Amino acid sequence: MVGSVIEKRTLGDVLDIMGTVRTAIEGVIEGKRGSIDMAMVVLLAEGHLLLEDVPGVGKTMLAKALGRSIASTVRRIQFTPDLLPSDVTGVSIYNQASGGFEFKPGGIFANIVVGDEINRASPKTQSAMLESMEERQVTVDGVTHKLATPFMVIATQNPIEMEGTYPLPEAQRDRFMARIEMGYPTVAAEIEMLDNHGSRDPLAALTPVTDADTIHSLILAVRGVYVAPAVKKYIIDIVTATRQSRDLRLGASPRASLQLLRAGRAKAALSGRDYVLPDDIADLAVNVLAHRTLPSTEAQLSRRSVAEIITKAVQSVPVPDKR
Amino acid sequence: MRPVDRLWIATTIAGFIGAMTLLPLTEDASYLYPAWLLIAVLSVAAVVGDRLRLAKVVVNGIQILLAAALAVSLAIGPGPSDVAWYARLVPLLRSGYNHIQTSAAPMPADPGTQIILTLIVVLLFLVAGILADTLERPAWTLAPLLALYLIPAVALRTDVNVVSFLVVVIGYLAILFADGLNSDRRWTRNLSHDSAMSRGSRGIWRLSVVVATPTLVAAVILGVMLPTLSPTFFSSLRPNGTGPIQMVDPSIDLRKNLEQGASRQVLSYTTNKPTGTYLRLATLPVLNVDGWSQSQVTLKQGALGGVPGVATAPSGGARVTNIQIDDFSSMYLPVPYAPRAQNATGEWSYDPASLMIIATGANRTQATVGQTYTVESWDIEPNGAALSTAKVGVPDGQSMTLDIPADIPTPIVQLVNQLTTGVDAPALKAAAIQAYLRSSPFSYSVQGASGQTSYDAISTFLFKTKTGYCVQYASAMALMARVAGIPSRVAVGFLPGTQSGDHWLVTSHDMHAWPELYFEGQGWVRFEPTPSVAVPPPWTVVAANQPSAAPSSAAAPSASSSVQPSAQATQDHQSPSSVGITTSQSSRIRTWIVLGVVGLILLLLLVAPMVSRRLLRRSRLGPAPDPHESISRAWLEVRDTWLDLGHRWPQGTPRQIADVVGQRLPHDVAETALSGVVSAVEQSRYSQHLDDVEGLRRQIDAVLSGLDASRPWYRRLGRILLPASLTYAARQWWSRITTRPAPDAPTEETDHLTSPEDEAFQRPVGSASR
Repeated sequence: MVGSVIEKRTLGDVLDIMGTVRTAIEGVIEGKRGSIDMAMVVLLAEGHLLLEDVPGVGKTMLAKALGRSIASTVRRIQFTPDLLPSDVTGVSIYNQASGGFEFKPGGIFANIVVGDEINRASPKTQSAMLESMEERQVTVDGVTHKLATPFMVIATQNPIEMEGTYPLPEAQRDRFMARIEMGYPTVAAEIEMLDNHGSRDPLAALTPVTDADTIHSLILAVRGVYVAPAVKKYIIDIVTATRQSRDLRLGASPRASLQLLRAGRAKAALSGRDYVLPDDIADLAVNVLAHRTLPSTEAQLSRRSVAEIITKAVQSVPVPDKR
Repeated sequence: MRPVDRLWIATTIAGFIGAMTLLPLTEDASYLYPAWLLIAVLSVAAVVGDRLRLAKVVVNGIQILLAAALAVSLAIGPGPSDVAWYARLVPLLRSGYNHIQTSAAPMPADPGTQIILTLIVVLLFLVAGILADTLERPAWTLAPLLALYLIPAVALRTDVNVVSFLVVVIGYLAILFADGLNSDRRWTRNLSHDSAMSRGSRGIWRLSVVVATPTLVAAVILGVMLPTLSPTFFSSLRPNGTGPIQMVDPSIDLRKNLEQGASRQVLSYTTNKPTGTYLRLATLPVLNVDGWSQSQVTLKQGALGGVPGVATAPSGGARVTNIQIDDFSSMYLPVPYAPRAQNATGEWSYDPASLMIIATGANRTQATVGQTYTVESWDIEPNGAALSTAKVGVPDGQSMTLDIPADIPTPIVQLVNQLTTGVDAPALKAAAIQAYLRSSPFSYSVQGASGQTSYDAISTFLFKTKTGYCVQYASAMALMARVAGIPSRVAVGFLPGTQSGDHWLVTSHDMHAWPELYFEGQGWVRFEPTPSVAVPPPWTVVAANQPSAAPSSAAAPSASSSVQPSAQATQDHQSPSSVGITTSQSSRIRTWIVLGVVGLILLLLLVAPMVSRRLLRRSRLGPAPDPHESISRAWLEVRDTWLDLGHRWPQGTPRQIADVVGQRLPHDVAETALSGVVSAVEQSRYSQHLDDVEGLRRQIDAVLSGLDASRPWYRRLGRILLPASLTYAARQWWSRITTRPAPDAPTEETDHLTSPEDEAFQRPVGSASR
C-alpha cells in the first residue's frame, strides 16, 4: 500500500464508487440511508465517526459493513474496563530468536477500526486511542509507527447502561467528526431485516466493491471541492451562533468549523457537485456539532435536546445570498 | 453618546433651522420661540425615554401628548380661568385659520396664526423624529423637512427661495450624517475594536452626499420647473378659436403686477383732454360669499352701443385717446369709460351692459399685445349737486348689481348702517362710505393682504387689519354700497399714469381696481376709496365747508343733470351673427380642470404600483451586465412574483425555498425549470464556475408563467394593482424592528453581566454532566 501510485480520481468517480459502496452497505442494513451517507461523508472527509445509540440497532453492523465493502483491513476492538492502552496501540516484545524487541501492532493498525462500546474502557485506554486518532500515528518505546491510510475510527457508545462506564469527555468527543444516532428502523425495514437476516449472515455475503487505495484517491479528490467565501462565512456564523446561544454552555470549537467544512466538501462530492452549498452545511450541522456542545442547565431542565438547539441556531443564521 | 442622542440632536438641529423656513410667511417671528422650546423639550423627552429603556412607540406617544399639552398651555396662556381651555383654544385656532385664509404673506402678527405655525413646525419635527428614530428611516425625513420648505414656497408662489432650501438641505444632511455614524457603530458592534476596521466618518459623508445629491438636484430642477409648469398647463386648457369663451378674472393679474419689484411700462397714451383718464379693462358685477366675480355677458360685435344710464354726450365733448400698448397681454381692451368707438385690430366684441371690450379671436389672451388704437369716449363726470339728488336706478342688463346677498356678515351691515345714519341721498351714502375708507386708520399696503374679496377677507380688512390695497378698498366699498342699496360693481384697469410731455405713461404698478356705482340719470359713476394712490373724484367728496348733507357743488351744473337712461333702441343695430356667445364663469371651468387633474393624479397613483412592478419585471428579465447579475435578478423576480401571489417568502437556502415554491407549480415545471433556476442560483452564489445560462431565460419564463397561472388574475386583482413585493423590504424591516431579538443572540451587555463565580459554576469540570 505504501509507495503505490495513487490514481487520480475525479468527483464523478466519487459519485460512482461511493454509490456502489452505499448499495453494498444497504444490502446489509436496511432503511438507514442517512446513517450510511453520514458514514461515507466522514470516511471521505478523513474524520472519525461516533455511533451513539441503544444496543441492537446496528451500530456495529454499520461499522463492519462499511469496513467490509472496502477491501481494506478492518479491526474491531471491544472496549472493556480491563483493556490496556498497549492493546490498542501495540506493544514491543522481546523476540528471543532475533534477540531484539519486536513491535506487535495493536488493534488500531487498520484502515477501519471499529471501537465497540468505547465508553467502557478506562480513561487511560481511551486517551491512547483518541491520541492516535488525532495524530494518525502511534509511538511505542520511542518509535513512531504511521497508521494506515485511509484511517477511520468508528466508535460506538451505548448511552443506556452507564454503570461502570467512562463517558467520553467533550474534549475527546471533539475528535470525532460526526456523531450519528442510528434510531430504530421503520416497520418495513425491520420486516425486511427479519427476512434477510433470519437465515443467514448478510455480512458474510458482502464482498468488497472497492479498495483502500481507491478510497484514498477519492479523499484526495474531495479535498478539491470548492467552498465559496460566503459559505465559509456561513459556517463561521453557525459556529458563532452556537457559541452565543444561551441554551448551550459550551459552543462549538474552531476544530468544529474545520470539520464542518471538510464534511461539507465530502457531502457536496457525494451529491455530485464540485462546490459546497449552504444546504450541505445546514444538513451536517447537527451531526457534526451536537456532540461537541453542552446544553445549559436551563435547556436541560426544559428537556431541549442539543440537536434541537443546534437546529434552531442554524435557522437563526441567514443563508448567504450574495457571492 | 448613544446613537439615539446623536439622532435626536441632528433632528433637533434640522427642526430648529427648518422652523426658520416659515419666516417669509409672517412678519411676526415670535412663533419661533415656542416652536424651538417644544422641539427641545421633545428631543430631551426622547433621549430620557431611551435612557429609561422605554419602547420607542411609548416614547413617541409621550412626545405627542407632551407636544399637545405644551402647545395648548402656550396657546391659551395664563388667561382668565373661568372659561374652559378648549373654549379659548378653538376660537383662537379659528381666528388664526381665518387670518391665514384672508391675509397674504408676509402675514401680520396674530396669536392664532402663531400657534398654528408652531404646531406645524412641531408636528413636522415629530414626524421627522419618528421617521429617523422609531422607524429607522432617516432618509425619509426629507419628506417632513421639504414639507416645511414647501409651505412658504407654495404660499408665496414665488421663485425658489435658495436660502430656505439650503437650510432644509443642511438639516437633512445632519440627520443622514448622524445616522451614518450610528450605522457604522451598528455594523461593527459584534466585533472587537482591533479586528473591526473602522469606516470612519469620511465614508459616511461620501455616502450621504451620494444619496442626497441626486435627490436635491432633482428637487431644485422640479422646484424651478413647477411654477412655470402650472400656468402654461392651465392656459393651454383654455379653448382657442370658436366655442364658448373662457373669461379670465382680471383681478388675478392685479396683485402680481402690483407686487412686482420693478415697475414696467405697459402702455402709453395721448388724449385730447388736459387730464389723464382711468383705463378700464373689465368689471366684476356679481357678489357672493366668495367675493366679486364676473357674470355671464352677452357679446356683440360692431359699433359700440349706448352708455347705460347716460343719454347725451357730456358738455365737454368726447374724449379721444390714442393708446399704444407695449407688453401687456389681456383679453380685455383697456379703454376709458364710457367708450363710444374704438379701432383696435383683431376681433373685438363688447358687452352692452358693462361696455367691456373683449377679444373674441384666436389667441385672445394675447390680443392686446402691441396694439395701437384710438378710443372715443364719454367722460362720466357727474355734477355734484345733480348726483346728490340722484335716485337709485336699475342699470340696463345688470340687475344683478342690485342684489344684496342675505349672507353678508352682520358686522358689515351694521357698519354701513352706522356710517349712513341720517343720510338719505344714495350718493351721499356712497360719499360717506368712501370718506370712511379713506380716513385713518385705514392704510394702503400691498403687503399683508391677499387678493381675495370673500366676505371673510373683507371683514378682516374692515375690522382687523385695516390694511390693504385697491382690491380690498374697491371690493369693500362696492359691497358696502350694495348694503346701502346702491347698484355697484368692481372695475379693474389702470390709473391714469404719469404725464410725460403730451404722453401719459402707464406702468404695471398703475394697475388698479375701483368701485362703480349706478345712479339714475348719471349712469355708472366711478368712486375712489383707495387712499394714497389716487385723489377722489370731485363729485364723490362732500366739501368741508358745506353741511355734511350736501355734496360739493363746485363743479358747474352740467346739461346732463337730468337725463333719461339711454334708449334701448340704439343698441340693436349690430350684426346678430355672434350674439349670444355665452361664456361660463371661469371659476367653474377651473373647478373642472382641478377635478380633472386631481382625478388624473388619483388614477396615476392607482396604477403607479402596478406599472412600476411591470417595469421592474421587464428590467429584471432584460439584459444584465453579467450572468451572475442576471441570475440574481431572475431569482429576485421569482421571489417578487411569489410575494405578489400573496404567499410568504420562505426563509432558507434556494433549495428549501424551491421546495415550497414548487408545490404551487405544475410538477414538470417544478422538476425541470424551477430546479434549473435554483441550480443556476446556487452555482452563481457558491460555485467557481457557472454553467451556460442560455436556458435560464426559458426556465424563468416557465416558472413565472407557472406562478402567474397558479391563481387566476381576477382572484388576485387587488394584488396586481398593489403588488405586495413592492412593500416587501418595508415589511421585512418592520418585522425586524417589531420582533425583539431572540434570547439566542445575547448582546454584549448580557455577556458582561455573567459574573466570574457564575461562570465557574456553569463551566463543566472534567467529565460530561450526563
